Amino acid sequence: MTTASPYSALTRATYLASIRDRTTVFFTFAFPLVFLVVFGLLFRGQSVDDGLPYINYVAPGVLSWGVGNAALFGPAFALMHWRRDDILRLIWRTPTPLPTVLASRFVVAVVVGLSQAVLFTAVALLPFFGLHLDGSWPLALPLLVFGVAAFLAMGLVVGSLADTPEAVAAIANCVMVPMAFLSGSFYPADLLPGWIQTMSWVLPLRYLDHGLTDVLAGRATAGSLALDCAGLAAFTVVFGLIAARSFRWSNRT
Amino acid sequence: MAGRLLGLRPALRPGIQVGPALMRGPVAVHLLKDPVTGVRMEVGVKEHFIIARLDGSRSLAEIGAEYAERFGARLGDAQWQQMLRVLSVRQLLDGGRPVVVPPGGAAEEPAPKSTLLRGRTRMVADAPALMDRLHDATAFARRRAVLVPLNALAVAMLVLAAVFLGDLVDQTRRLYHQPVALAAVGCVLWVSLGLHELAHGVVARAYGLRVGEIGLQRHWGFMTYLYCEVRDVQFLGRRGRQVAVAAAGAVMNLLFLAPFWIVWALLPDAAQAVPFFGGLLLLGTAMALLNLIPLPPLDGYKALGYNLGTLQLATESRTFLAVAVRAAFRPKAAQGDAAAAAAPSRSASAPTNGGRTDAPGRRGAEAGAPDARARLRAYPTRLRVVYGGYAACLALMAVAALAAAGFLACATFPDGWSAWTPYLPVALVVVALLLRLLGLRAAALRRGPAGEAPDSAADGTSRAPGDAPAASAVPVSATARADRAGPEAPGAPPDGAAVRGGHDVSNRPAPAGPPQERERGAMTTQPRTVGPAIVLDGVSKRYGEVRALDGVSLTVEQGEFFGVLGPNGAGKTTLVEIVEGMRKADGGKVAVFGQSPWPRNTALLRRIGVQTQASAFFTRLTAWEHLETVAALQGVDRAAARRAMDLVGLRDKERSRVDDLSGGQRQRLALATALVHEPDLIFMDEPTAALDPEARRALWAVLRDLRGEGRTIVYTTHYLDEAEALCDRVAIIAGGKVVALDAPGALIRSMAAPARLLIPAHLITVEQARAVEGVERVLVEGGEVVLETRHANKVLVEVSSFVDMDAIQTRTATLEDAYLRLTSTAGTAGPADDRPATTTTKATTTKAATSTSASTTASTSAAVGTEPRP
Repeated sequence: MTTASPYSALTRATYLASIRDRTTVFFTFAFPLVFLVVFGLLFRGQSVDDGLPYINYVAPGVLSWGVGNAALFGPAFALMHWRRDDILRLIWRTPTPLPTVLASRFVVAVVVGLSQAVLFTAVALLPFFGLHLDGSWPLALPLLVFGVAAFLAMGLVVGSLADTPEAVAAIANCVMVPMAFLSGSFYPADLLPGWIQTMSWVLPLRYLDHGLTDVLAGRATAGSLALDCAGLAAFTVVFGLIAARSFRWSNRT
Repeated sequence: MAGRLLGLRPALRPGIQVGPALMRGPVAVHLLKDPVTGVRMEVGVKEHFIIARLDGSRSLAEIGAEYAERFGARLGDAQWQQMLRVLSVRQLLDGGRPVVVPPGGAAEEPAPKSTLLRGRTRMVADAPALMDRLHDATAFARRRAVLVPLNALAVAMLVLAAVFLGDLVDQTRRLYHQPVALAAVGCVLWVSLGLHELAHGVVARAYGLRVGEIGLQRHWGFMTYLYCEVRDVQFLGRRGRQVAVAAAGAVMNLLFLAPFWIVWALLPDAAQAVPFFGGLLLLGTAMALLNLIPLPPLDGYKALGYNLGTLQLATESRTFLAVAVRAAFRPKAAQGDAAAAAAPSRSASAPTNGGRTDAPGRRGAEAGAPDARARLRAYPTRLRVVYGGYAACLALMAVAALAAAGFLACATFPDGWSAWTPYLPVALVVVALLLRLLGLRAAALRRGPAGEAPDSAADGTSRAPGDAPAASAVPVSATARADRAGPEAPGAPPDGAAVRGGHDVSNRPAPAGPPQERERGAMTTQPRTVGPAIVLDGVSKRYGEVRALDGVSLTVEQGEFFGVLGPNGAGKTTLVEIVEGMRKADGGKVAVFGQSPWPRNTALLRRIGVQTQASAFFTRLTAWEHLETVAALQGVDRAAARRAMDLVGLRDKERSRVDDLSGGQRQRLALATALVHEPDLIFMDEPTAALDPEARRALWAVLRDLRGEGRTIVYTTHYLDEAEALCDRVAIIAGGKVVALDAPGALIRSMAAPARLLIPAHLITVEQARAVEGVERVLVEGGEVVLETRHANKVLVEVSSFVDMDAIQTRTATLEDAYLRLTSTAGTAGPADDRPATTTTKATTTKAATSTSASTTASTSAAVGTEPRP
């Protein structure tokens, strides 16, 4: 018998809890696909001024929204549940430090995000949707990891603030839905009014969306991508600090 | 005796259905069905031989003679007795007794858990009634004159589809560019599928079978299909009928297309609806044919199985293949005793013991590895052809499917997407198989050392631990799979499988002797470090205006069993939280093993184990997975988790999800969670709250053992008898203060509460009782005169002069009395504590209700002896 590391044990526990919630798993993957179908049908065969087909805007937009959504909701619900059910107290009583808990959560969120991306891209590549994938697509991987980190940090804030599942859903939706529209997830951001385009750079989803769109269209440069990643990293730090401030081991304080 | 037994002429209960011989693996079996209870059984050839002859006219002696002639073996008395006992237990004999239907109806298998993504929805409230109506409505068609043309029509449509295949394919391709029309085709075909199911039902009904249920099956959330449950097709005597039931659906699908063929033929070539009808015809025909593919859930598989007279063709084929492969590559895995393993006829010289004479192959797989060649030889040539042929057929189909998928991938993905597009399906399948293999391996590992052989997972059938003992006790196994747990050889003890699962707390030996004795015996403990475990000095804690703790001072020595009693809201939880360092005390000093627990002192936490009332478990994990995770978090190995699991006796439930555990099981898992890192100081919050009395006693034994190992235990409880029995010392907390702190016995004595003598009212009058010297008070309670006294012995001697001693009951004061006084009366009590007790009347009333049972256990018969009172 060997001693498993707390990190791998927590990762496994998180992973098992995630995949055993079949309904959530299903919608985590199906929801973005539904949007892909809807917008794919709406804009089928049309192109934006710069010659790229609509799908090249809609697909990365919906994908970034889907990944962000999953990375925010999952950890937010889990954190709320773990605190409410005293699992956090249980962890508190062990020598396991908090960063280990968060690291395991992060790894599972990244895996979920990458699987979402793979499935989504595979579907979008079907001739029906007609997404064209540029050869530089591996550049999207670091972007996705940074994106997951930023939304995970936001999820931790939400999970720390909310004490009930209803509150988590309410706060998270309140954050995600306007952000999705303002960041141009469901249609090309270039179509938005100029001032909204400018404003949208205060939203993390905008960076993820922008980066992914560039990568898929093959017009990403190392510089622009690094800027997007830096933006996401900044959000991670900011929300991480807020989460650290608002973190509670127990509801009874 | 023997003569009498053999003279019996038992008869099978009327209505019991006995099916024809079917092959399961290398052996023949017969299905048996009890139409009243709905129970289905599977018996071997020899049992069937006997059962078929139990008609009431033949005596057992006659049957025995026939049996001996047929199988060349005589049946002894013991075997006859066992056989009859089994038949009578299974209610198969006509005994004139009413048939007991098992609760819940054994006919219905437990429905698999239904979720949003997967499950069944019943569509027809009363399927048998609907079938009856359809049966009447279709009466006209049940004639050769109608059926033959209909079947001919179906064949004709297949021919038509083949002739016009090119046109139809072309039109179907066009259909794919008309999403709306495509959706419409889908809807029409869905209706066709519904009729398909009804056709199964109608044909089955025509042959007199019962249709169980018609409903909607969901898979993966988006795949839905209708199903129609037809049971006992195997009982239809003729295989042609069985096949007809299975094939009816596909024929129905084809017939459904007939009107569409006519319309299609009449449409002009340029009509807009041509793709719709063409696509419908092609897809509809394909659907009907797909259903005839011999793969497990499909009709074709069923029809093939009926036709070949086999049970579970796919599974058995796989078993056969495994045996054949092993025979070819590893013929001598063990010292093969070919003759013994290969001769099913010998291993079953008597039906009752050989029972399922069969399955040497399967048993071999479990027992280790007898000679693979011998096991292969057990398959008759015809079965080898059947099983091998089926496997080969599947392999061909798999290759064909992969090739088709490869072509499809080439056609779907854009040209030049990648050179390896054709191999994409193959790669996907390989990856999926690898993942599945890993999953199975992981699952086998997760089962832990006590887990069963992984073959049950590979086998596709689950083995419920619960049904093994029941089945192994009798040779006629009620289910197909139960026999695997059955006796290995004739004469083997039948309860071999029953040993597993006997791992409940209640099976632990009960504490020997009265609690008090054990407790004194356990005093010989050595503290691991010097000094007290907990020292609290004037600790106070406030939440806003509420003083949760108000100057609490106490010391808990190492190795002590320390009870904390108090009404809800008295501050018990706060006290524990301060000691473990989760909260900071507002004032006073806290030391645990000489260290301050605040802020989070991980070195100290390693030595503390806390069982909470809330039962905090990792979501959606099994009990074992949860404990494994906690062990890893604590930095201890899995063996420690295993020990903790065994300690609380939860091993048989360790594979249940934590959400599915009962209250008592959760309680025990919480205890295991607290103990996994073998802490020196253990906090427990009402560990026995949700347990039944037996489990509670068993847990007491665990607690005493822990204490015997030198652990310090601090625990809160509502059960005062428990505190009295277990604790070295008890602190009673009320209103944030310690109102009493002493050994339970000392607390009771210091109360100087009077003892109560209970005498039936017809033996003594109130006046007589009052006249006895030393009696303080006389009450009449429910037919008994109660004498309160502080000099129980003296009064007892005096009363016994005119009342029979045996009739007197003595009830001495318990901890409960002390507790009630201390927590309810302000100022008057508290002899062990100089601080005034606060009033907490409201909370106490609930306590009193919970502990009524405790006081009754304390009453003892006067004849046994009374406790001397000062």
